[in-house]
Amino acid sequence: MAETTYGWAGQIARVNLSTGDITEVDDTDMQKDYIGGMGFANKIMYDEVPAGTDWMDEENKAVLAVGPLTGSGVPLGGRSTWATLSTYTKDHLVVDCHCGGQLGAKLKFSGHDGLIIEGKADSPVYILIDDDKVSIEDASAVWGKGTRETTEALCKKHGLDCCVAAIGPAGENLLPYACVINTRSHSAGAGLGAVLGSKKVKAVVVRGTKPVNVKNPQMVADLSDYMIAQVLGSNNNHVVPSTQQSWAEYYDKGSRWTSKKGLYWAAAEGGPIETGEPKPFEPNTMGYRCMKSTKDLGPEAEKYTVKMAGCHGCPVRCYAQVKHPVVLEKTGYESMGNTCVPNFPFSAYMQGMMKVPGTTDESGKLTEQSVVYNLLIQATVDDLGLWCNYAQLYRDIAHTYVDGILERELGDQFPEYGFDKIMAGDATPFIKILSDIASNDTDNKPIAWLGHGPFVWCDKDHWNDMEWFDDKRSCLINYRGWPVHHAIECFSQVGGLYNMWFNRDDMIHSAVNFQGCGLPIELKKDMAKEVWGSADAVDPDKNYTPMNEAKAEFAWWCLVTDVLHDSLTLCNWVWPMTMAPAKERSYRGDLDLEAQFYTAVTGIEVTIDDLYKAGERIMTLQRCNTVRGMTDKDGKKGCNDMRGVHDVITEWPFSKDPDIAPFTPGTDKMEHKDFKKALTMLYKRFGYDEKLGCPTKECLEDLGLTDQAKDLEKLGLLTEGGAKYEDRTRKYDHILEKYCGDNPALNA
Amino acid sequence: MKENTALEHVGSGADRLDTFFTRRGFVKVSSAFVASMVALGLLPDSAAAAPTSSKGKVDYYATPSHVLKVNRARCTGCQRCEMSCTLKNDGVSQPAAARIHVNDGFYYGSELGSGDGIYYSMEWMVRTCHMCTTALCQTSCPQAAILTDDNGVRSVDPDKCVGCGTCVAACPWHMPVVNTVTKKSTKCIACGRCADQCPNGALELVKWENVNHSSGPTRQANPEQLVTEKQDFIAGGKIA
Repeated sequence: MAETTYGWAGQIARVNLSTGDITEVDDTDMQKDYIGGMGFANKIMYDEVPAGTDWMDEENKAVLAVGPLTGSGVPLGGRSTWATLSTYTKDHLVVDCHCGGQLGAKLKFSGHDGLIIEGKADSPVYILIDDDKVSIEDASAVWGKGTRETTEALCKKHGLDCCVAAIGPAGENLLPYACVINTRSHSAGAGLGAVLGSKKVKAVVVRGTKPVNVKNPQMVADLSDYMIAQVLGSNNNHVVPSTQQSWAEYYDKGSRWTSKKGLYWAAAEGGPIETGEPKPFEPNTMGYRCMKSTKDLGPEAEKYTVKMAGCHGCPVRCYAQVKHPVVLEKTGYESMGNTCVPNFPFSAYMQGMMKVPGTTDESGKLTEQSVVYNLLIQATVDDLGLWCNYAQLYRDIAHTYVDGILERELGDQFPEYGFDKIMAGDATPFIKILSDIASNDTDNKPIAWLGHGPFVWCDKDHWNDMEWFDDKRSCLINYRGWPVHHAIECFSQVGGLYNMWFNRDDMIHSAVNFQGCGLPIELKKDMAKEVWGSADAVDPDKNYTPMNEAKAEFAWWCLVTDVLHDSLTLCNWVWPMTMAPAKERSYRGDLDLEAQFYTAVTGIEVTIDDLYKAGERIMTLQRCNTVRGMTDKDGKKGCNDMRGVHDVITEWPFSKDPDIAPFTPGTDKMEHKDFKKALTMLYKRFGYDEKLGCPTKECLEDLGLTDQAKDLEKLGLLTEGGAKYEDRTRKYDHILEKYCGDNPALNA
Repeated sequence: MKENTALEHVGSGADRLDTFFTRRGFVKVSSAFVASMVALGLLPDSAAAAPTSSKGKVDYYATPSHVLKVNRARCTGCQRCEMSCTLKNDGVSQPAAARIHVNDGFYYGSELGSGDGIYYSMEWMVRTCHMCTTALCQTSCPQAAILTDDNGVRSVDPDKCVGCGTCVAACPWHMPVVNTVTKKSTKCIACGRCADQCPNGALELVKWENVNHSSGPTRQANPEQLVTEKQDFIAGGKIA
């Protein structure tokens, strides 16, 4: 019998759909350097999927992975990461698709750290993982079904304790915007659904009864208790309530700590449950802090709120659970609720352009009509397995409607989409609009082009609307086809920089959590000095200063913490623990917790600096993959001009607010020369080539990425220069220790 | 916080078999039988010293000191209870072996068609040990592997347990679990770690005598029709 392994299960299932071969891969050699999750998935994608592969090719793979902390009992350890090739951004380069729900934990409990799906099946299949038994099963009975029906049918067959991650019609139809849904509404996006559809994989079904071995279970319990009692806030780690409360020194109306007296889960079984005033040091009220239904859907949603929920193992319950009779009648689905874009697709992203009367009342509050619009769209897209490119789909629908593009392009079909009804208060036509997009039948239903993303539909061969990228309403931040995900509005250059780094929207929350946490800017500046070395790392909202070293440090830290969390796997929507709700600790968080949990779970001693270095290695590996596969301006594959070809921010951040100069109060406008400098400083921080933005030989070899250095050298894409990690990093180990007197690992 | 207590319950929430559910529920047996029960480890040593009645019988109530009280309307399905339970009692994180069960009802409730779960009513069963007065898990065990401690709580002796699953079958609520890896049965020992970690206070370890007698709901009175059985769902194309 093999030696007990802690944290990791030690193996990854490899399912080849072309040959039917199913094997287990030992992942021991990857654990130290690539951690798990995003690290494992990206390592496998780099090693096994050649540059230039198209997303629909048999050679493309879809790799799901979790990390040592997944399902271990560490708070917020319920997420999982997939990697595959992008279906909708330029050159179809490697992307990560994150999801919560139950999938990651169940996979871990089945005794796997990952699943590699490769090849293509001839007919519809699903992959069944029942602990050690992995099999390819016939999915013909559920092909064509929505994600809800698919999940129900497969749970009926294999057990109600199975997690089903399914594609809907959008994925089957190879729509580039298709996603994979588990646990009703937890979505892994970035086109993953289309990749699975191309492989004829309808679903992954996972049942897990095995343990995650934990080296020091008492320390995991003690660290969890400490973290939940005094370090952890609400969703996005907002650490002050949104309303004035007697116990709280601060409050901030933007906070997602939205519980308050008189605000209820009004549709709870057995009578309303008040969210009340949960406070720090009250672990058993933590789950009431984030009242997300009314936060997202408006005050009318209170009466439809059954409770909150969320991902496996997370005490921050950020996920609204609502039922609405009208939506039930129109869709057939009783339960709804989300915590992200599908909770506010209409009110946050379409209404600004469409201005449908009745969506808000005189005081600007969202109305009952708004609740129905949002929930109806949500129920529809989740069942179709239709992703939105972080709300881009909704902005694109609104724009193409209000600016006459849909009417021009759809011709006789345009009236069938019922925009007149939508403008008159009836959201029902959205079902047809979204279903036709999911059909991907661009010949007969050209509205489906919107589900290919703006990189496609805006081009001159389609709807010829490239100026949309430079229109601030689009929120498109990179010409390769992705929108903002907490960009320049979030600490100026810092947000702008990390929005360039991946091949999709970044999904980084390390900065926006700090921005929105609710503490006053003076305190944030004090904290910034401790964490990133200078108070100048952060600016007040819309009152920015030019680029500086501390901002580059902050941007680097945002990237490596995000990648680290996606590898461990922890939820970067709340982690890292930069700040805390407890006044007793001066609102300081605890940045060593990832390392302490890692040590408690795996038995391997690490510092947070070791983990940050691993995060940087994983990030840099992905940049290598991008360099290897990206086409240059002449269309030739292999290009290391990341600055000139990849990290190109759209124009609207520089042209917005024409009457205000950059770096003056009242605008988040950027300045070209300054942003160029910002890129240079961040390239330097990563040890990259400062002109090109590509990883250098020194940087790669120092990170142990020697194979990648050789690969790039062979391709003529490797440059000299850069610096070793130790010569350019700031030490983060125990920097907040003086505030962490109750930390059990420090007292052990 | 306003109390939502109407549906608090203990155990699985299913209707009780032992309706005589009070601290005065006791068994009448001979003192010799008690002695043998003690010898087998089925009753604590203190049982032997229990008062003897005039008819040569002992009144002994092996009721536990504590039991978990559940309000499922407060449960948000994080399943930290299951992980916390096994971290404390097994040294691993293994929800399937936990002594409290949430994950198997999270999606669809007690059974498909119950109208419960995250796909329907958004309520689900939180199944916990009833701490029965007559513990069928214990009395059925062919290995006498389920012992009673000084608090009246039954626990599994892993050295004696052979993982046959008789206790699982005997329990009216199938609360014990045979761990798929260790092949040993586990059951709740009222340690309260799950309640400590519940972020919503849906669990509470209460003194046994303070138990609210009401049984919680196990399903919806008028469940929605299953989506696999109806024909007007979105992605089936019937509406659009």
